Amino acid sequence: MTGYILHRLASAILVVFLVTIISFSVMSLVPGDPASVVAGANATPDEIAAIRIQLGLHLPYHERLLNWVAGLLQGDLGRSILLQRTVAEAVAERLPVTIALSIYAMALTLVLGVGLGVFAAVRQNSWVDQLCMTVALLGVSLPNVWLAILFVMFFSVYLGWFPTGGYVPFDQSISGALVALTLPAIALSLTQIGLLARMARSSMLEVLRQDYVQTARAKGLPRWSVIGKHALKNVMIPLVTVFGIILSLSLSGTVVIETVFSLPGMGRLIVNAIQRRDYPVIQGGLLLTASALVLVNLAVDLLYAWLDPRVRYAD
Amino acid sequence: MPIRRLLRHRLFMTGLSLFVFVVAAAVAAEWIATQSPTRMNMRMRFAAPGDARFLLGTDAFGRDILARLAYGAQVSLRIGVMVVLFTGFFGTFFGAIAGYFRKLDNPVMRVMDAFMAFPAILLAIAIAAALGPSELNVVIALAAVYTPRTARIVRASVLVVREAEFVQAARVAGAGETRILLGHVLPNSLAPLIVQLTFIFAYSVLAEAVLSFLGVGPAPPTPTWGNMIADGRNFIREAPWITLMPGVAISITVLGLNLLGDGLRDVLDPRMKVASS
Repeated sequence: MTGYILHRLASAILVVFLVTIISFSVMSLVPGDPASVVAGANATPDEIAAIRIQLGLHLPYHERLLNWVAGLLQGDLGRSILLQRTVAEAVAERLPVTIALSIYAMALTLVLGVGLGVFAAVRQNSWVDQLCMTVALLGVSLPNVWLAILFVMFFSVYLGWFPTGGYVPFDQSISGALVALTLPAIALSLTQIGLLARMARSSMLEVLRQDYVQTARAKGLPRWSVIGKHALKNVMIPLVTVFGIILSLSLSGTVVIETVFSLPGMGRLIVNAIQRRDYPVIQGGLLLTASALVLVNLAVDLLYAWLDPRVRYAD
Repeated sequence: MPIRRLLRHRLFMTGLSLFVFVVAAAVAAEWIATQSPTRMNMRMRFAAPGDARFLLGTDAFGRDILARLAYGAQVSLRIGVMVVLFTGFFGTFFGAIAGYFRKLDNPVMRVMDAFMAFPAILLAIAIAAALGPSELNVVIALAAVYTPRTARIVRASVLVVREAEFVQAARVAGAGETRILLGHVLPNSLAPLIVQLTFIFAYSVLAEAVLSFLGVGPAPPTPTWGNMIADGRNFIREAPWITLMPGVAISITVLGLNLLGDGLRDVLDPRMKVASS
């Protein structure tokens, strides 16, 4: 196991290093002079020159990258061009919203995704199966931007059950925060619920065919106790591996959902920065998001190897 | 014969019908549209569906929604096809060299991992925004995001096929590495790739909506489904059909493609689990 951990750790460090370079470089794809784009259409040459120096754009690419990495190593993500604060401060303000939204959505995803999939598998080919799988298929097929807008229209404007948007911090009102996040979390989780339900179903079908399940049934254990005690545990193990994928999809979704519901989260922070060319925020935001996902995936891989020792030797 | 089994696969045929319907709408856009999708009729703003001249109504500028849907289908399908072609080519290239040449495996796949570490939509937005709002740039951004995910799948099947007996036989018979890879290994790793590319087509149609919605897709007034949703959002109370129609169009297309992908997987590659994105 130690060898496996070291191997995985080395990979993850290499990937984070590459992620750093990509995060820094994406905005270098901008054609033309980024300084004049940041300065705006009416800027004088002097203003553009000042911004060029402020952004360090007068330096060659490799020096800028090295300066940035040197700052990172001291915990300095740089300063936002537009927000009058450091990138770290901007992220610290926005992160709680995204974390709360993601946890809420992931909880819905795990419960409903696994639930739908397991139910469908247990009642394979019945109308329950067809209903669950139709819901799952719609989940992965309907565009989340569109659903989110329709949700606001129907549940908030028409029925008046939820606010149309905005965020209430948890330290102000826990119930208020939960109400504000419910509709966004549902809209955010539908895609992942669909995906997870489809995987859970095929995983469950496979487990139900195994000898030990047949044996448990043959010796007279009740159907649901076999499913709950014997089958479900073995369904969860392969699903652990897709946790990282589901979380990544969920974070992709927050970008959209935070915009539609006007939630001040990380996704919106980065998208606004992208639209307004706030380079330090884009670079820092991309780096933090991707690094967090690398760490989650590392943890998932190690957990999986611990749960299922065969993995350590296969890789 | 896989084709005969596909023809008997009910869900596959449903998906095929939905997809063919969308393709037909895109091909026939010129005949379906009674006027240009960008022509404004300021006296006919917010016409409700069922209007004599505008079957599906008009938007805030009095533009014909049916015409915009049909031309939007062309944009979505073009983006989907291009992303599939780029992703298929580069994903196969990187996946094949990583899976077949052991020395290249680690460096190539770590770079792929690094690209996959970013949430797909987030990286696509950054790339598309950096390159500028255009159809080609959306294609480039999505191909960059989906290539590593495809490479990983190609690599996995190449790793298996590489050890197969017929590959060993070809090697013993004296075939060169390139020839073995192109002539024996790749053709036998195709099934998962085809399934994956069908799903990538579906993701691309969904992603176009998101990118356009956030203003980094093909610039307005280009009729794309995502632009239509973004335009309609401000008028959702008075004229919900402006937002509803393009969403239905996207859903039909993506549903069709997902059913096609499921059917192809059942028939070509029954052991494969639901593909990751």
